Amino acid sequence: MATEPRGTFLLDRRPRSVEELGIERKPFYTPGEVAKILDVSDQKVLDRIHAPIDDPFHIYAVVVGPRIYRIPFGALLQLIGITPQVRVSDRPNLIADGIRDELPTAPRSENVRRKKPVR
Amino acid sequence: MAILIPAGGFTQQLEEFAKQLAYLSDVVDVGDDRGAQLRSTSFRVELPDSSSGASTVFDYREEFRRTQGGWLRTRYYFELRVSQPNERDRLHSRKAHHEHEDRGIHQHCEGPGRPDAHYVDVERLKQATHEDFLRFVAKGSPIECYGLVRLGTPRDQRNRGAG
Repeated sequence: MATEPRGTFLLDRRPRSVEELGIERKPFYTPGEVAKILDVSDQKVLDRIHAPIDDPFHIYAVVVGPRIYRIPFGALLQLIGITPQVRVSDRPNLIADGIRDELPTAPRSENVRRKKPVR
Repeated sequence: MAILIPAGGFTQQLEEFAKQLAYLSDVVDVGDDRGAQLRSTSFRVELPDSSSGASTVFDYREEFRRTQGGWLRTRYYFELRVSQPNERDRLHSRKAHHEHEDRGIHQHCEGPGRPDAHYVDVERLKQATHEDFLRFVAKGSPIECYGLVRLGTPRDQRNRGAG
């Protein structure tokens, strides 16, 4: 049983950033693209996706269709040994700030309907 | 439906969700004001795409009230926003599920040629909404607003409720 931690099994050394790997930054990668980045076979990536979630070699992927997977950028980072940064703050983004523009107004069509015709 | 989170498991649930979001990007912003009676939490993660220049933001905010059984959710704000290519601050399209005073539970959907409006919705859970948004973004399909029913004005809603 391998004891190597998740994220270091496919590359010989840990890169410090994605730029160091020279890959294009995008939200999701296909298993084929990940296989190319890691220089392994597509099948190996698929096997890791299908591995149990508690398996240290498991690769996180989003299922977008029957046998169609996409590996998110953060999961790729973890795969190559870069730990994503979780910034915790005691000042959350507030709902009140998000809805400030919408609260006092009715839907646009309703506003239009209420206007009296100009004579 | 009331969403009640046991007080003992609240922080763990936040951590678990943050861990999930960490699979998406290199930076995840988590906010928790740890209020004694009212508590606000937020999660935000941004996915830039260097090829299109567009950026996708997952934004989840919730508010809870302390009860005997734990933390009772009182309001929520779940949003998926996609920016214009090469203009991070200009919105291209948006899908949102909200519950807040005045409007109650509703959703928003806007895209090119489709201005914002309030639409009828059902109550949403953060986890399920995230999975929905994630699948949507991973598919690379544009935000679609078909089949949504417009919400009346708050006055209409009150009248409907009274009738």
